[in-house]
Amino acid sequence: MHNQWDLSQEQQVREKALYQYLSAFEYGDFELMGTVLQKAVQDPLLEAMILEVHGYYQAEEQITLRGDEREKILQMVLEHLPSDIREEQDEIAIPPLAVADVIANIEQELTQSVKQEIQMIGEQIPSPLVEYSAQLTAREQEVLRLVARGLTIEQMAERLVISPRTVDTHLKLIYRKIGVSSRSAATRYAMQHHLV
Amino acid sequence: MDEQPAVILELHRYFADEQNVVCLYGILRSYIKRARIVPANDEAERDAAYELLQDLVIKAYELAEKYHGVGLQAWLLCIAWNLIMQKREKLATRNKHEFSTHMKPDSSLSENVEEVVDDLIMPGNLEQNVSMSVQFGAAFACLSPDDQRILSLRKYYGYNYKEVACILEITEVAVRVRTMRALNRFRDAWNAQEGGKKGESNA
Repeated sequence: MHNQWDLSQEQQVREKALYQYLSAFEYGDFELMGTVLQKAVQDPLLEAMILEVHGYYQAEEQITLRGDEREKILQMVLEHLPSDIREEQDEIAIPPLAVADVIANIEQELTQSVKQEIQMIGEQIPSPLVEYSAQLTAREQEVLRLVARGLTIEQMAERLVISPRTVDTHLKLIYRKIGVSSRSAATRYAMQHHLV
Repeated sequence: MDEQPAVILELHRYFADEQNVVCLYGILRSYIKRARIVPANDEAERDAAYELLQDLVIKAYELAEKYHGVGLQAWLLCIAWNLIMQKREKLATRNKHEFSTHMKPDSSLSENVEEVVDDLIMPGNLEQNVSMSVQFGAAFACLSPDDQRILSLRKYYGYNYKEVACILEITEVAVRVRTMRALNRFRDAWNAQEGGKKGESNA
């Protein structure tokens, strides 16, 4: 005969808590559910067990999202993120900054000799850079810069504190805007436009 | 931009992932279904879950600094739970109707049915108490063959969830849910037997 009591004491407590949660959930006993959820905040294993069980219930009850519903929900969540976070998350267009303005800003902090050099460079900058500034958002420029530096999607996600999926979305938009279809072409574009 | 507290970034990462949001919304839908705070129809439940998710996102960022746990998703469910409880209280006040005990089973076995069954099955216990043994047998006989099988495997043979899952060729989580349901049905049958005994003694 097997012995189910071979489980560690911690696991037994967990099993019991999950059982209570399940039972309470089925009966709609929210008071008891709350107690177990509070335990799960401090116990990732219990949390994982609860989430797994909910996956089962969702499949059993056939809880699905309609196509428009999914979009609506994702949009709503995005809108409710704090504004400083939202900037990180989404491509909010910033007014295009002319190269001349950038140079003028830097110029104030530089010595005369460097100023002359910058002026010469400024005159040599090809016009597509202005178009490029108008095309890509600040966030997209940042992503493109990281692509050119050879970072993977995961590394970019980590660096920009966004999900890999969001990075992927940014990349697709960038490719479409600059008319390329590969990382190498995007890298070449970034180099041509002095992003790296 | 100022440095964000770690929890804000964790929340941000969580909500930025579509899969997380969809999964969370699914759980909220099933909460709403059981909370009985809206009429039991699909459209009302969808609307209520949407509203709950909206409140949850706002509240999560408001309370972020108070979060010191390790289970972010459980913490979010705690917030959802709180929001539901508030809605239930409001409704209860308005309708003068108590939700929390509406469907809660009222019986001696209700709270610890699993422990009581474990105790009963311990070697020697049923043999020593003939009347309890009869009641146990009668209650067990009321269960469906599936319920009997799963309870036998779990409680009599002592297989763990994983082993029962292998034997019955279902998932481990399905074993958990079905065991819990079988135990609840056992409790109801047990209580029916107990009610019957009381009736007999009164007569």
